[in-house]
Amino acid sequence: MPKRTFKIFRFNPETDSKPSYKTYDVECEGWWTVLDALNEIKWFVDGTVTYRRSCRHGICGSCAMMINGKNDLACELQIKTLKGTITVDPLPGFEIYRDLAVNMDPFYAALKRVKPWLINNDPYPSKERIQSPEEFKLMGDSIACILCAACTSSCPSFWSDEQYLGPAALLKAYRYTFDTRDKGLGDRIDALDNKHGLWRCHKITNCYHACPKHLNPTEQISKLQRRIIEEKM
Amino acid sequence: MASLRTRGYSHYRWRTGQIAWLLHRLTGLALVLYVSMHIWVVSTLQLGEGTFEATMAVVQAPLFRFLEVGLLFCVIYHALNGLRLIAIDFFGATEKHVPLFWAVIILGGAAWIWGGSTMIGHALHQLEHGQAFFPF
Repeated sequence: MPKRTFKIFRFNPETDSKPSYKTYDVECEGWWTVLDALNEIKWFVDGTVTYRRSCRHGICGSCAMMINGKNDLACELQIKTLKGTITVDPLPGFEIYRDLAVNMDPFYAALKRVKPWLINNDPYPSKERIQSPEEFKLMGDSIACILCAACTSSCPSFWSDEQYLGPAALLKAYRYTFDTRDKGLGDRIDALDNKHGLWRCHKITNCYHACPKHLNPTEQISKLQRRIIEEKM
Repeated sequence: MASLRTRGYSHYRWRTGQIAWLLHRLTGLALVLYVSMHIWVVSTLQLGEGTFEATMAVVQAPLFRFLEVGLLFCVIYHALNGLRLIAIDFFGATEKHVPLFWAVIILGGAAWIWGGSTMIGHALHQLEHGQAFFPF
């Protein structure tokens, strides 16, 4: 088994005044992902290394972190695709709880503000609310977002304004606004159309580069901006 | 208990999109400053022909010719990057935003060198004819 070196960001706010890196040499199987190596370190080398993980197959979004300077899902990124020492940092822009675990409260608070659920007060139809394949396509790939926060944490607008909704919440707002079954734009517009909302997106496009699911929040935010302008006019 | 919030180090700081945004913001502010000054200069017409001619004599000094080269950069960059933003906002060009930025830099740079060299030539011509660099 080839030996790989992992340089892991360490910070315990209760005991450390400054963060540091600690290096671990791990014998890795060829098929391992970065999460497999982190588990190996935590379970057999140093139990104090702290990180989040859950589903380990790229759908829960828990293990998003910065690996070799790029936001990615530790459970999806294969070690064999990385060269040299593998540096693991927490997602930028969030307060650090400990090591690679960050405080996601601002992220979830932003998400809640856009009301990411179906809003439709019409009487229930006798069966389901019908949606044609063409109508489904209007939502684009926004339905594939797993809320890992890789996009929001890469966004300079979010670094400068923690109240900013951020690309993930805006993508969710897009997903419901362009869902033909949803009638909740009136309920969401105040959260979207303010200085911490849609207009703080400056098309820096880091979110597009950061998304581990290869979605395009920048483009969906542009469409949502146009929709809000049409709505206001 | 120490609190730490890391932001923007390594890969995501000063990437193309952020540089393009910062230049757009700075050139935009410079243009607002220029337009305000321009309106003030023109407004001196209200005070009579003499005042207007005196003000114009100040802003036509070689110093302002060189500053106008900077103004030309602001106008060209802001206009071309504005087109790039329209392409991103209205024509789904997010995936092409990096090559579009370089197109802005190369086309804009060529236009700036062409226009700027003419303007610098004019300023040098003024200096050769004994006009003071500073108008004050």
